[in-house]
Amino acid sequence: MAEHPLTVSELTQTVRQTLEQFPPLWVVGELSNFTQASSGHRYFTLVDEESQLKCVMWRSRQLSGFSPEPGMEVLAQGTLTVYDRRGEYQFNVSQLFQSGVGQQQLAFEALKQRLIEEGLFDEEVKRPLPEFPQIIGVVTSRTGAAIRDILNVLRRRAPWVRVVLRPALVQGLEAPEDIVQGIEALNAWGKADVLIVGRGGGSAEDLAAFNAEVVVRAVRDSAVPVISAVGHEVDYSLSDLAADCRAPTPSAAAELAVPDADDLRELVGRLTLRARDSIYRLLEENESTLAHYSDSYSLRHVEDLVFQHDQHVDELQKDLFVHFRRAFDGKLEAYRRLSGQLGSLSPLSVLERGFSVTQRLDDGRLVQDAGTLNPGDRVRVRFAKGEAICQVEGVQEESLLT
Amino acid sequence: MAKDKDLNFEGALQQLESAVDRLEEGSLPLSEALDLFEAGLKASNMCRTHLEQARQRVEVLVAESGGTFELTDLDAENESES
Repeated sequence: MAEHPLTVSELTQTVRQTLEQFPPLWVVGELSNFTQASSGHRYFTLVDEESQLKCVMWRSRQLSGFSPEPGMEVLAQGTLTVYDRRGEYQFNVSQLFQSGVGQQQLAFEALKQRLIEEGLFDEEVKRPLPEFPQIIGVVTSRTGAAIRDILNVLRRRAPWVRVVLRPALVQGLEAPEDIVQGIEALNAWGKADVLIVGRGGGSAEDLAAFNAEVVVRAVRDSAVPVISAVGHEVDYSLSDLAADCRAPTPSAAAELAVPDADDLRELVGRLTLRARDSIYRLLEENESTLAHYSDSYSLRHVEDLVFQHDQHVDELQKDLFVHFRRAFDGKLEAYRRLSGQLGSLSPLSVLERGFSVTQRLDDGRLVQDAGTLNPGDRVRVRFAKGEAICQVEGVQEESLLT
Repeated sequence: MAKDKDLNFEGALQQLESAVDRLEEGSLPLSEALDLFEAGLKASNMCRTHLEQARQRVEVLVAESGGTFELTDLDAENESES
């Protein structure tokens, strides 16, 4: 019947040649039956729900920094071939990595999805932070960098704030339960105006406690608003998503928690000066009435009040000057550093070459098109040094230079 | 220790703000305006005093059995550590 039957070897040879024409491939799967023979070669199987792939990794190939364990999700690179003696095709692995998209990641995504559907992360359930907290509760490690960073920022911005730390382990198996107890204890104590819950930066595994469902729920269930500060700029932990407010680092959390003392001093100073201006205006308006009572007790009282107030304002202005000076010096230093780095990119260096910047005086918008100006408009022109307030006399929409 | 609470910055600031708002409306009789001004100054002083309270207090919350809490100062421990 068959005119040219192939031998088993011939067929196997043909199949092998066909398979070996595949270019090198990447395959992802779960590791099973991993054995390292006494020869040093490794044999294992990659599996998923439906299929298996026999693999071999020769002794000469290096394992990249992990010890293979059953069930581990791995990524293998290699080529297809046939093991002639058994007539089985197999994957000849050149590189093997622990895969990032493992079971943990899937579990994380599933939990996240479930909590999203439950509404735990909804914007509507987030509460505003208190504007002027007196007591800040902190749940973090007693010895970590986080509490030191938080205290540093608070000491600078709002030294009057009381800080109450509830120490908690922030990594390891007991961490989630410890963090939950910390949040619950501060709630039971009941005097904190806002909580900061978090830790300094770490690897994804170090931050795992803040993805634990119990922690996420405790953050959401807290009666006191929570600022989450899990030190990781890129990824959000689930606690971050559940918190009323999220900060990228513990320092940033402390900054969000309190207003800045210098800003408040400035605000109080400004309000006080406005009060003075109003009362002076009123006194001027009432000058004739006042003259009538010139010797009366109430006028002397007013005078006294105003003089004392002047003294107070003088002090305020001195304070303000000191604070502005301090803020300004800081900014100047930062500016010098930055401008050193930026070099010719700095807008100032453009100004120094003789260009200037023009802003509308009424709303501060930059003027980039003469057509937006009308004769009579007032503009502010900034030079490398100083500025001038100018009135537009005429407008020419086409530049003479172009 | 707990006297910090007497000086409520938020309340004092609100008082100052409302005094300024009413003074700037400008339609008040002189005597009333002066009273407001005086109240505003007091509030302003309270704000300033509050802002100058410079000492940071750091405590550790310790849970006792039976749902009561105790606070201990962190400062001493911190200093011995560093």
